[in-house]
Amino acid sequence: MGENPERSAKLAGYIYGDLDLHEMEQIEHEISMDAELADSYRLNVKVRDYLKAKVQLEEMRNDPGLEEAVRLADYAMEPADGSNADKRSGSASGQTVMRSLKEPGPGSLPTGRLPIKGIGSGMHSWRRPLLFAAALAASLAVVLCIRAWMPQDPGKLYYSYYLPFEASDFTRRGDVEEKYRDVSDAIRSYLSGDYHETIRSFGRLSSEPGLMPEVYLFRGLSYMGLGMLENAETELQNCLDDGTRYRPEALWYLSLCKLRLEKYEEAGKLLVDLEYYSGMVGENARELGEKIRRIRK
Amino acid sequence: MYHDALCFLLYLGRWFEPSPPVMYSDSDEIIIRGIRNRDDNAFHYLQVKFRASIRLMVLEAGGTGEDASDVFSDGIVALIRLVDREDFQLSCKLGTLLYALCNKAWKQQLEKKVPAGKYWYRKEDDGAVDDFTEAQDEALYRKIFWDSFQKLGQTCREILQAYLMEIPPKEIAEILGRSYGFIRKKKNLCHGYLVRMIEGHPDFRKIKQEERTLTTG
Repeated sequence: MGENPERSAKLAGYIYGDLDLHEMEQIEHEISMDAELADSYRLNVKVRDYLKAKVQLEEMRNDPGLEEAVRLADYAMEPADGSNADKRSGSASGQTVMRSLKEPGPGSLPTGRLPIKGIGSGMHSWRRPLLFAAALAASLAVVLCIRAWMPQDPGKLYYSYYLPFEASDFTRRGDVEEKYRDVSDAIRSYLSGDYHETIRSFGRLSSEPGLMPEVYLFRGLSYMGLGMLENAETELQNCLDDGTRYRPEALWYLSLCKLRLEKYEEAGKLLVDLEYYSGMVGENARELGEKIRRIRK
Repeated sequence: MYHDALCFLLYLGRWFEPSPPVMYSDSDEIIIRGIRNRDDNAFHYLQVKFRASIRLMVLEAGGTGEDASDVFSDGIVALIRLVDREDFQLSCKLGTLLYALCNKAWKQQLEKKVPAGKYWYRKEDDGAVDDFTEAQDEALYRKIFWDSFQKLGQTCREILQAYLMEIPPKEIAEILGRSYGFIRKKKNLCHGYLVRMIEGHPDFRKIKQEERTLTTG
C-alpha cells in the first residue's frame, strides 16, 4: 500500500469523504478485492478516528473556558443538601440514563439548587401554603392567557414535532429481498443515527432509478438529522416531485423544514395536503397547521 | 460552521490572542434546549460528537472501555441535572463542559475504586490478562499515532487538524490562504505520509509481527 502513492491518496480522500461517487465506487471495489488494501483501509480509519478524538480532547483541555466548565461541573456534582440519599451509589447504567431521559419528572430534577432568598423566608408556616396556592393559580391564569394570545416559538414548535423517522418495515423487507439489501443497510445507518454514512450510502444508490424515492427521502431525513435544513428541503422536495412513494412522509418532514426555515406559508400549504390523511398523520398536520397559522397572525 | 472556523483560528493561535470573544455557539444553545425538552436528537448528537473523545480521556487515564461508557453516562446525567436547574446558564463551550463533567465523574469513580493499583490487580486476578495485553497494545498504538502526528510538518498538521474538526475544505482553504485543490491534495499526501510513518515505526512493526506470529501459531 505504501508503495502506491496514488492509491494511498485515493484512500485518504475516501476516508475523509472527499471523493466523487465514481471514485468512491472504484475504491470500494478495490478494497473488497484486495486484502492488503482492506488492511490498510482499516488502519487508515483507525488513525483518523483516534486523531479526531485526540484533537477534540486536546481542544477541550486547552480551552480557556475550561476553568468555568470545571466550576459548573463542581456545582453540578456537589452532594445533595443535607443528605446523600439521592446521590448515586455507583456509576449510572444505560438504564439509569434512559430512565432519566424518558421520565422528566420531579425525580430527575436537581436535588441541590442555588440558595435563593425567598420572599417568605421568615413567614409564618400557615401562610405559606395559602400564598403559594394563590401565586400558583395567578401564574397559571397568566400563562394560559399568554398562551392563548401569543404565537408559538417556531424553533420550539419544530423540536416538539420533529422526531427521526422510524423505518422498521424497510429493514424487514431488506432482510428478505436481495434487491433491497443495500437499501436496508443504508437505512440501518440512518436508524443508528449515522447520518453522514446514510448520505454516502444513498449517494452510491442514486444510480438506481428505481430507488430514487428512497434516496431522496433518506438523504433528506439525514440532512434534517444533521440540522442542514436547506439540503433537506431540496431532497424532500425532490421526493415529492418524484411522486412515486413516501408522499405523506415527505410532506410532513418538508413542512417541518419549512417551519424551521420560517417559510410559514409554504409549511401551511404542505400541511393542508396532509390533513386529508386519516389517523395520526392527519391529526398532527391539523394541529401543527393551526399553530403555524397562529404564528403567521 | 463559522464558530468551528473561529475555534480553528484560536487553536492555531495565529491571528488572535487566546481570549475568545465567543465562548459558546448557537448550536450549543440548541442542544441545551434539546436536553431540556428531552429531545432524543440532542442526546444522539452528544453521543456522536463527544463519546469518542471522552472514551479516549478515560483510556489515557488508565481506564477501560467499560469505565469510559460509565463515565460518559454519568457525565450526561450530570449535564441533564445541571441544565434542568432554573439558574443554569451556559457560560462555556458545551463540549468543554461535558469534558469537565466526565472528568469529575471519572475522578469520583476512581475514588470508589481506590487504590487504583488494587483495581488493576483485581482485574488481573479475574482472569482478564488477555484484555490487559490488548489494552496495552491499544495504548501503544495511540502513542505511536500521536507521536507520528506530532512529527508531521506544521502545514500538514494544520490541514489534518482542520479536517478532523470537520471544517469544510473551502473554509480551510480560505483560512490558510490556499486554493481548495491544494488543500484537498495536500491533505491526502499528509495523511498518506502519516500512515507510512506509522507503518514504519519500530513499535508498530513489533506489534504487527507479534500478531502475525500468534495467528500463524
